[in-house]
Amino acid sequence: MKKIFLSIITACCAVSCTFLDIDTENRIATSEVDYSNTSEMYQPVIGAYASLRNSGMHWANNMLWTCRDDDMTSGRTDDQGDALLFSYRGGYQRPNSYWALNNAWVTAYEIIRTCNSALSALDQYAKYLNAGDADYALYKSYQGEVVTIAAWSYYMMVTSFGPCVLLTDNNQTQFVRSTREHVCQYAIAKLDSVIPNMQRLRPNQMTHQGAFTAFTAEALAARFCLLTGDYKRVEELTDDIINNGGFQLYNDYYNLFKIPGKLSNESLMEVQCTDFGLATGDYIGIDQWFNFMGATLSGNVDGQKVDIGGWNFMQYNNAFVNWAKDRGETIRLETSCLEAGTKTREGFSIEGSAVYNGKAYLPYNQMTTGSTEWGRNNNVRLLRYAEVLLMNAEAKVRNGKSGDQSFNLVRTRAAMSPLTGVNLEQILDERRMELCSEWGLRYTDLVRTGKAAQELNKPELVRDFANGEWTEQKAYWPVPGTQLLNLPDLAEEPM
Amino acid sequence: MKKLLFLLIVLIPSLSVIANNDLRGTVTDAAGEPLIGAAIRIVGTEQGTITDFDGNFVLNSVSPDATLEVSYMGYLPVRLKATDNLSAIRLTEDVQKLEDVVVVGYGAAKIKDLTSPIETVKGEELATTPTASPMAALQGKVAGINIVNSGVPGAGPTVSIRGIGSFSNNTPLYVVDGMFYDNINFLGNGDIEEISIMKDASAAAIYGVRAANGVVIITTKRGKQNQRAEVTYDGYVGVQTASNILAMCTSNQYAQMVLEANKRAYSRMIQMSMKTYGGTYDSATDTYNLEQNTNWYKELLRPAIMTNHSLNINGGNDKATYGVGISYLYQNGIMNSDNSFKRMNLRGNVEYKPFKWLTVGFNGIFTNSQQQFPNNAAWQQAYNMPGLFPVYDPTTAELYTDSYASPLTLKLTSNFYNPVATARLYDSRNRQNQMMVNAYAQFNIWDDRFTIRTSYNYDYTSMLATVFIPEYYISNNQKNETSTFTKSNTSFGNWIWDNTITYSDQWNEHSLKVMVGMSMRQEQYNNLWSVAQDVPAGKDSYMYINLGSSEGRTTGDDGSRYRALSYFTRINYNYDDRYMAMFTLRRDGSSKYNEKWGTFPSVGLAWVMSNESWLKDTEGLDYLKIRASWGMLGNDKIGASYGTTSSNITRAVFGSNTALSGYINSSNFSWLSWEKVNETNVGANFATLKNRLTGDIDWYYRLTQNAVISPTLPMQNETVAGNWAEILNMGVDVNLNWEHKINKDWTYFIGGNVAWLRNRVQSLRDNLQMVKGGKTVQKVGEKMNSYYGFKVAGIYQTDEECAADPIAVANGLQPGDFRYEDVNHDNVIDENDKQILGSYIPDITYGFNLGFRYKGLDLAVTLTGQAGGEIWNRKRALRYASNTYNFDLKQYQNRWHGAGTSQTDPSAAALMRSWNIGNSQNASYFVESADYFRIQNITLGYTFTNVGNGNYKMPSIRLSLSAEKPFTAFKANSMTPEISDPEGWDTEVYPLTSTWSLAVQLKF
Repeated sequence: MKKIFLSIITACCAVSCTFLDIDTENRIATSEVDYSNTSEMYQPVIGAYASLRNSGMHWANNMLWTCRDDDMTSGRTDDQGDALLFSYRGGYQRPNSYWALNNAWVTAYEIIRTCNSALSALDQYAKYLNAGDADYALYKSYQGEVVTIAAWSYYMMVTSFGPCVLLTDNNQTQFVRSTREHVCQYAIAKLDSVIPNMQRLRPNQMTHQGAFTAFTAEALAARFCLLTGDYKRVEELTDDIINNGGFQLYNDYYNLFKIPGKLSNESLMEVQCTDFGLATGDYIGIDQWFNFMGATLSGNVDGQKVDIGGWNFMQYNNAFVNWAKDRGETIRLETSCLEAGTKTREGFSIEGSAVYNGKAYLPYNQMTTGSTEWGRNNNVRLLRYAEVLLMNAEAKVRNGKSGDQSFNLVRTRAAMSPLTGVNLEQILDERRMELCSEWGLRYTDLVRTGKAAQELNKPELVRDFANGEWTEQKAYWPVPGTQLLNLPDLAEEPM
Repeated sequence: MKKLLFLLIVLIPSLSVIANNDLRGTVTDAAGEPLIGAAIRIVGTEQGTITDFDGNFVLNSVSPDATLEVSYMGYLPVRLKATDNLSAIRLTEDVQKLEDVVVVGYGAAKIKDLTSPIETVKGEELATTPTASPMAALQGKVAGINIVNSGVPGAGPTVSIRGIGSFSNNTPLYVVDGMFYDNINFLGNGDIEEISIMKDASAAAIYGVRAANGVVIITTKRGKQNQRAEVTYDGYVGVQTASNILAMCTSNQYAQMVLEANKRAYSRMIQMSMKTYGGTYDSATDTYNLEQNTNWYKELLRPAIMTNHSLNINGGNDKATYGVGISYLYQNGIMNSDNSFKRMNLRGNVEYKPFKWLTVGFNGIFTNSQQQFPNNAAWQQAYNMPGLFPVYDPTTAELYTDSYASPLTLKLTSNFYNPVATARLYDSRNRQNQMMVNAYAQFNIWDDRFTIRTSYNYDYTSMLATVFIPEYYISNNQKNETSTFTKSNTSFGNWIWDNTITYSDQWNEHSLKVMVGMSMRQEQYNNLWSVAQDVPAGKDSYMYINLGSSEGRTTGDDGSRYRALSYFTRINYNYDDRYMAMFTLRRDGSSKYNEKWGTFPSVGLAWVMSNESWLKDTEGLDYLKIRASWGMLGNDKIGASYGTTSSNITRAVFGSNTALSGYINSSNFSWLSWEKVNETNVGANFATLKNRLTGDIDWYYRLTQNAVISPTLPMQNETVAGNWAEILNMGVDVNLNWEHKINKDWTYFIGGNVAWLRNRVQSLRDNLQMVKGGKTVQKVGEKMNSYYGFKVAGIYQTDEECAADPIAVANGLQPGDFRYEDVNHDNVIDENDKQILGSYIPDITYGFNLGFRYKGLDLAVTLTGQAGGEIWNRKRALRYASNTYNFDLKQYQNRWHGAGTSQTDPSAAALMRSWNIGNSQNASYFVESADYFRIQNITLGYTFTNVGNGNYKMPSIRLSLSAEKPFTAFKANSMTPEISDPEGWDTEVYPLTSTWSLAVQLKF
């Protein structure tokens, strides 16, 4: 009996070697990416573009970026009322516990991390290429596109958080912040290293339509140089774009931000979306980006009442609207400002009691049939030729030359009379109007030109939510509390 | 049945009159009362019998030099020669219960041999307690086991043994007749013979990688050798009611609150209720008197029936034992909607000894249950909804489903729901069939020195879950445009094959027991589900996916399979009943992990000081044993691995209507391994004052290493789980019992148990100090699952006080708002000022049992309670979502309404400002004490013995009245301080019930 039992045990021991080796249920083992197949080399780059769309275009990021200046307010005092604490209305309290602040930090690094992994994936493909190959040139140009995407994210970081972490490697373990100067120098150097390898085309001429080109990278580099005060470089970079890029201002400012203006000759950098022409089903979009800014509009279409509703965030201050009116603005005012109580040119009445952001507006007749969702199927304009022209004008004036030519191109397109001998003040005002509500550029301009204290502490700005003045110490956002907690290194003095 | 029994009873004495060398005798207790069913066995043979109603027995054809052993449960056995005087065999009670056998893993041990704290609870203590799950009945009975009950019909309690030591899973391992389970909700209280709870590591270590959260071993009822057939019926009928109902504001009080906060904004809503549903306005006092005053909690509650019937028959002769049982439980829910639990259990076991060296047995339990789930979302909605409108409104009947009143009538749009509609327009049920079978064979060779046992267990569970949401329209937010039907079929098929060899021997003062074994097991899970729209409502027979729309139908399929292989040994050594040692070692292999094998050793030592010659006859000390043990355990109830290294496919747009596919490589991946627990236990058992006072005390130090935690990755929202953290549970468990048998008729007892627990997060990943999860945080040096936010230091009383405080100025605060503690004194309230505000884990849990027996009358009272834990009043905290939510009565009564009126509670206006109630502030105002004291149970019973006349006598009938959880005292503003959510979030909590029942126990 014992023998039988022991032999059973022995048998068990024998099967035991294989007994535990079973496959995981309901899973197919994922195979590694085949890097020798260089025809797939663009795929990690697509991943970087997707990350720019998904992470960079978070609605709350837009809210925080644009509510900082004296022209716009985040609009809502109940939920997300904390956003007001990032503007003059809340005395620039900038609580580091606000979730949207952490979101802005995390999404920016999400893009940078994706770019890092895309760059290393590209390097894997490059191992199967020779330096002279046509595919090798593609590899270098793809590298440039990815670097450009990361640089955009660093620009948003350095203009909102100021000092921030340079994440050069996804396995990095040091998280001490770098100074603004260092971040800018790093971004400029990175862009400089890829600009010669990139295609000298407009994005709408690219095989991958809308992909970023050498001119996109140059325009971004010029933005960084404006921050560092290297106006000579700004002039060189923008001159190259103006002289060799073949860019043109889109003549219909109203439609520039709408469907007809998608990937126009004015576009240097755009985040693209598509609903494939259908109101339901597959949509590659950007979540609530347009919707959160959307005002409530109602109109009649073929005898049917049509409502287009959004979250009512992002409103212009009356002071800005009055300032624009005093300037004699027409098309830019109509396009940018949707004043409650008035009607759009399509006959939709604007409900509510504020001035909403018209650059996010998509008229019903441009919407995909069956949809009433704000901005659905529209692209987001990240960088326009108009900004390049104004950077060029500013650099020229600062370098002691005339900026009139490029300045007046922007002005005349907006049906404003040309000026001669423009000065810095006029250029900044032009930027304020032309680029209103875009990327917090107004706030960045105020900070970099030293006008912030004067403009943001104007007595007519009502601190209705909490008290406090804007000071140099409050120019940038604090490191989010959650990040400080996870990475105590971030509290250290920036390097 | 009765007839058969009657025959048996008549036949047994009549058979024994015949042979010459027959032995006759009588067995009584110390007081001379006959013991019925005492076993008499002739040592070295299988021959034996049991005593009848008068304590008499007859044994036929006994050789004169035979030795008899007389034993009876709870009494010390005696050995006698056949030639001795057998006419008055007196057994003395085993007060210390040292000879009692308790089940330990893969075997049994006498209590006197134990080196570790093992708590046992007998089935009869549970049989008439009105709970759906046996574990729920243990509340307050055992030190060191925290049981959190739930009022949901059929729901089992949350059980944790000696604190919680894992962020992933804290459920003990339940071993039912050798089979592993995560809970024993499928068993009825009447199915259970005994529950053994292995509290320390040395007892549990024999279960290796499954044992980290403690082990509960359950033996189902079975017959004993030479046991008279015993038929027992247990039944009760009870009524359940909600133990506590939270008082809310009446409509008028609500109106006063919102108008006090913002008259301009909310007058319209109040006036609308007055206009629609009646009421008056007194302009002199500026107060409203509204007619409509719905108490939503009252509308949602009802008394509900609970009943249980179980019938068990157990018996055995010298070759076979058997036990069969059937039980039925029905528990209706106290939510005033369709929610209930029904369970039918069939159970049978038989053991047969064909040869002296072989025992074979079979054991089966079949359970069928049906649970109709309540929609707990209604509880939170009932808290939030003011009483301004009725449940039903016939005037809008044509607009809204089933004439329910709509929040839209008062222009309440988002966040407001008719709670009664929520509760009723919901049909979620779970039908479960479960079958556990166990077959075994045991070989006893070399005079029982070797026992070889092989046992195979199989459990098959099939669950059919359906959820049907009908089409309805109550408001824009409370609607379902097309009916939705979900059907999910889940099955579990688990088996375990155990093989053990036990060698036991005794020589001189030495006694040795060695067990070696191996075990193989497999756990398989499969789930197939489908969701369809437009399934017709009305009949159960319509509940098929096929009857729904074929468009938009979705299905899913999932499954898992894990295997484990284990080798283990246990060595017990006892020298002269003075020194005991135990050593166990288990080697576990699991298919779940990359690193497949782990080793789990343990060692235990005990010294019975009272058996030492120098202490033996010490006055007042009857027994004293000192124990120490150490062991290592594993917890494999965690995922196999986390994250992926693979590429995520994504798309980007290039030109109009052109999307290209690409990928994002991510490397958020870690292999997981089991969590490890190291536990040291030091304790003592003692008996003193003529064995009247018995007790045990244990100190333990339990350190979980490699605890799985998921911190966020640097500068990401993504988390990756890894074996990174350390958790400490340290504590003391004390049990004290005083039992005094004054005389034959009078006995009284009083006992208490207390458990102190210190739970701390010892370390997290690397130097990380804190990990924030969804609801709570884990901070080094603090309790697990701590609440984290701003601490309320007071209330701003005056405008001058606000003007003088830079924080109040900067944030535009008003009198009535919270003053938060500025931890770093920088005059800014931000993330750096958040602090730990408490945790749901209690520091102390305690229970008391007291009662008496006088002749047939008995009274027993159980008290229980806990202290040192906190709940998060999410009901209140949810106010951030809407200013016009209702208030509870305490918020109204205690509110600040002028300087000096409150230092703790905010004003009505403050309850609408995000400074006070914002979702990210986590103000300590929402943290409330979870301390409670409860009368757990009062049972008054009377037992009639030997009822009947003539030859047939019924051994006993017991009638009892019991009140289960009749009274609970607590401070929290909640229905119950017992929250099933392990992080203590009080939202959507089904109220706990008090049950008033009448029970009958019959023994034939």
